[in-house]
Amino acid sequence: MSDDIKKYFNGLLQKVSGLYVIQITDRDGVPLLRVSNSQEKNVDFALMPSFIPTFTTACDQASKLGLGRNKTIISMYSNYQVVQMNKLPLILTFVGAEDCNTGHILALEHQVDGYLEDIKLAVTEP
Amino acid sequence: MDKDKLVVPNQIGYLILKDDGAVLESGGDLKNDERSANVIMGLLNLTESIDDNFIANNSCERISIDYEHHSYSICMSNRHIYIVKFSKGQNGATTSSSSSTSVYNDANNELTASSSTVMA
Amino acid sequence: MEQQLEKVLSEILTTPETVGALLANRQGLCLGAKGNINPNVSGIGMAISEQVAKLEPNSTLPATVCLYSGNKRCVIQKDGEITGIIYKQTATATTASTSASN
Repeated sequence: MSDDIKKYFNGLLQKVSGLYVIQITDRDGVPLLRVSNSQEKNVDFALMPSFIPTFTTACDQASKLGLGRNKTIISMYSNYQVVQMNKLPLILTFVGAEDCNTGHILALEHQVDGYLEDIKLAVTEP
Repeated sequence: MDKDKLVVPNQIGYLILKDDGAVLESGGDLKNDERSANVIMGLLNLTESIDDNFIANNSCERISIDYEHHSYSICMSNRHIYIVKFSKGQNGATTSSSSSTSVYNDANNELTASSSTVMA
Repeated sequence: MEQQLEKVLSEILTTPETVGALLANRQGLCLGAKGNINPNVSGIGMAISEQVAKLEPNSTLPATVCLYSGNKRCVIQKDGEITGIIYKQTATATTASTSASN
């Protein structure tokens, strides 16, 4: 089953041009699944111990703005863009080139929901 | 070749692909055009899931790609992909026949008009 | 600010058989949508127009892509920074054959 999910996410990675990495972690940044374009840029920073917890904190703060619960944070850098989705207990992180199709990444959200349910079960079960 | 006899009027090239993207047959402008085949496979991959509420997944039966002087038509049938390239003008005439492609030209004009107004 | 955009989209919607229209920017984000169309389509529509642009990179005029499914069609055209997507639906299910369109 895990192979199935990995294959699916690899397919997504191929579909969106300029996308380097898709990773699923828990809210502390423990990696659960990671697919990457091996020949593309080195984007190991997305797994640095401080990376995911920082998003979790930012997300919690953004939820206090009185606009409801924060769902997605898009961060644009000069060489990268990072799209992070709050799917607690999971965090979905996409890292792509700065000119990567942001709209396409956002549209993936509802497509992956089904697959995330399976992973969520694995996380919540003791 | 048998297939060459089945040419559509104005056809200037064709490709027949297997559903995995392998080129089975080709001819005319598209002879051995692996690059176009790959681009079109990528396109088909994208069209699988556009909008489930409007065009259900994998229900798209035909795609046309229209340029000023030529067009492509892509059809899926029996796990094969048929791609035909057409020329528009008669005998290489520069003006595209408006009657034959009014549907596309309509769309063309709408979009061109819209983007130019936005830019203005 | 986006009044012009809204106006253009409304104009597009008045054309026959049109059910929805949207405009996307180069990031694949929706600039505006009108009618029965999901704004999330901007990303994939933009991806399709980019993919088609690879087919003939030397072409000066942008190509128009049309996806057919039964009585529905989805027309996509990219022009510079902006991609337009229009949904069309004919009342009767006419499967447009290649001979009819030529």
